[in-house]
Amino acid sequence: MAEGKHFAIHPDENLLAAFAEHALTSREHEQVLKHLSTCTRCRDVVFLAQQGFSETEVSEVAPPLPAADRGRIWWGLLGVAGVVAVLLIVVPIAVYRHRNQAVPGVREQVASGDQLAAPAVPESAPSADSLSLREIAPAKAAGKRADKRASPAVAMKGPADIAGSVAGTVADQSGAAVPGAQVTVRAASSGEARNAVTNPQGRFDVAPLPPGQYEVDVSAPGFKELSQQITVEQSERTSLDAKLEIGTATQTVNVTAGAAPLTTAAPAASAMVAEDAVPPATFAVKDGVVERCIGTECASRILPLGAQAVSAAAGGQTVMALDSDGNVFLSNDQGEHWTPARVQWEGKAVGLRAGPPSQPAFHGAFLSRSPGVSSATRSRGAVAGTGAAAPPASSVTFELTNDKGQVWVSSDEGKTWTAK
Amino acid sequence: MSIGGRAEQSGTESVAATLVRLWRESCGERFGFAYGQFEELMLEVAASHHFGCGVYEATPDAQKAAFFDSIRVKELVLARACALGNEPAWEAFLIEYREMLYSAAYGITKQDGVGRELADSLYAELFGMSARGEQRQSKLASYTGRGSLAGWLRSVLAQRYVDEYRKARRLVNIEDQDTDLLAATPEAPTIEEDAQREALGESVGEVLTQLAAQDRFLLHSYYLDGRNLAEIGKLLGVHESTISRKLKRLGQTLRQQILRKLKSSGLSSRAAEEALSCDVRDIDVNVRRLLQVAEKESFHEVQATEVQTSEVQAAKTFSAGEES
Repeated sequence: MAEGKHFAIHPDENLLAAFAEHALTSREHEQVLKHLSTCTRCRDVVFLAQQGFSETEVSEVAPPLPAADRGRIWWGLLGVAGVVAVLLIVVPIAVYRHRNQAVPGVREQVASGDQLAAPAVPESAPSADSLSLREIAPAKAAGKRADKRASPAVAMKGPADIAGSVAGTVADQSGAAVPGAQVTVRAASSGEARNAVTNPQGRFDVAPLPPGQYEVDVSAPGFKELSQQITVEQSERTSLDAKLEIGTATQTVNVTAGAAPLTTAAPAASAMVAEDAVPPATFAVKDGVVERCIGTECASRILPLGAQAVSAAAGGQTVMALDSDGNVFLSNDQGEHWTPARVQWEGKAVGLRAGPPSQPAFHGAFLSRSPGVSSATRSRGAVAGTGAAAPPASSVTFELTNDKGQVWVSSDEGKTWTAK
Repeated sequence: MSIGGRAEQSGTESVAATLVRLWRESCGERFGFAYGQFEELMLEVAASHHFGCGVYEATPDAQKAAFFDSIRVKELVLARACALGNEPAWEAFLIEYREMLYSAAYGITKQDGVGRELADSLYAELFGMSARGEQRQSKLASYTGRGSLAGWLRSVLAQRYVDEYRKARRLVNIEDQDTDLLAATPEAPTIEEDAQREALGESVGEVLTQLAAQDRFLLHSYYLDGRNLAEIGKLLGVHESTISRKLKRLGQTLRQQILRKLKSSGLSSRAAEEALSCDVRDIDVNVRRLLQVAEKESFHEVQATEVQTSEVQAAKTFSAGEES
């Protein structure tokens, strides 16, 4: 696709299929969406293709979406669950942070979002501190179906295909995907190593692997390195979901797995106490997309429906973004999922900032791309927040400016807004 | 293009290393696929999609590696091996996708006979059958691994079906249109009403043509195509309640903008409100055409065959939704 190209005729089946599976880059997604917005024929194709899927396969088992796509769909459900989900995630984290301050160095386990989302699944092997390990056993009916659905190609095994594999995701403590993380799988017997790098969705896949014992090291700039021992079984896919802690790269957390690998259906992740000061994540807007950066590592945080972000602000556990239509979106998980804020102000919102009124430069520079600001100035800016160094939520004030210059203020993380 | 470049950031796999890893993951050797072929195939895909970012040669190594990583290499190799006539690959394809192909065709057409016919025709094309016994050319050779192979098959089926179906629907719609035009006998409006409607038509036109792509997509899908919230939400990867909120907000915004336009055209606030409450069937507005006006080159085939009545009905539904 050339720069700024519109599809002269129609996008091909590859692009339409990848669009429906959210597998396109944001640029391609935007271009296809633009075409779909005016092309009845292609809209019919993508919707009908979904019918072919839903009526034949969804009726049997869950849709075969990759982890990142599931996350994008779940954000909608998270919006419905809203307050409950936020409380369930934020409260345990707050509790363990509080304990950490009281007793430095104490390692405690906290419930992760995954555990909370699947309370019926028993947690086994609590010794697996920062890595959750599960094995999908094809012999077990449900697991087999789910695995097969998740990757049809994986299930295509011939008689000679006896190798196993290890695949999974790497995320930070908030659950946000960590792209570009280095995953090293080293055979315990021979020391031979295989390397992988997580993709933009934080996924990795190492295959084929001869059955045996392996040590998996996961590292990413700005995070503590993790190490996990796993067993790869013949013709089986071992799933490994790693949650990295923010810290210096030289710190290594060695984790010894239990005698047997976990066999949970959902990731049983836990977190360790961060022993050092945590560098705050910064949020910036670049080319209409919110970017979350820790140091030099940045990851895109796309607003719902591909809305064009013009401004971002962060404070406490909350990240807010303003789109070009004047809509304000809230996120309590580092921008991974967004929910629209209830409009309680007049006019069109054009500016958004965070911080106490007396401290306009709260944890960074105020970022705005409101009309009138030069593109060079507004193209990039940063507002920091979240993380251990962030002040308590109650001390954070968000300010919203409308197109008439009037200001509205929220001191409860965007729930209520009052005119200033 | 060189693929042996070093990674731009420490800790990031080089493009060459990424391709080697993906080659191992693709299990291409099972189907007699050599590494050279695999590399060539991946570069072909990258060239056809410009690494997903609009440029090819100037793409940073990290972006190249990320693009290659996003390719469904196992499915891509399977499809290409099938296209090259590899028997084990074809057997593996049949085991995994044949049943899915037929059931998907039924899901799309909702008719046993038509579904089977659709799947049969594509099945032959996938195999690469040629009526004249020429060189085998499989449709699978055009799969690029950007999405799943199953998703691609569904899209190809849907595309074929839509193209066939639309041909038939055009004929029906043209007949319907003639009937509706004959049946339409509107009462003569007063001069004041006429002015209001004219102002409203102009205002609606101006506002709709300025809509962003995603807003046009939502309006089109929901009000003109009749897709439900769940379908739209699933396609966009968000919950249906989000679509509902977005549509509601969009409706409110449109209403405000239209009111503003009406007032700026000289109508009083009351007259503007009255104009908005008039029967949409009395307004001479082609909603579909206005929503499509941004990309005339891509919908030329649609314009001539759309039905006026469906547009009016859609506009009425949209307006009624806003009123409530």
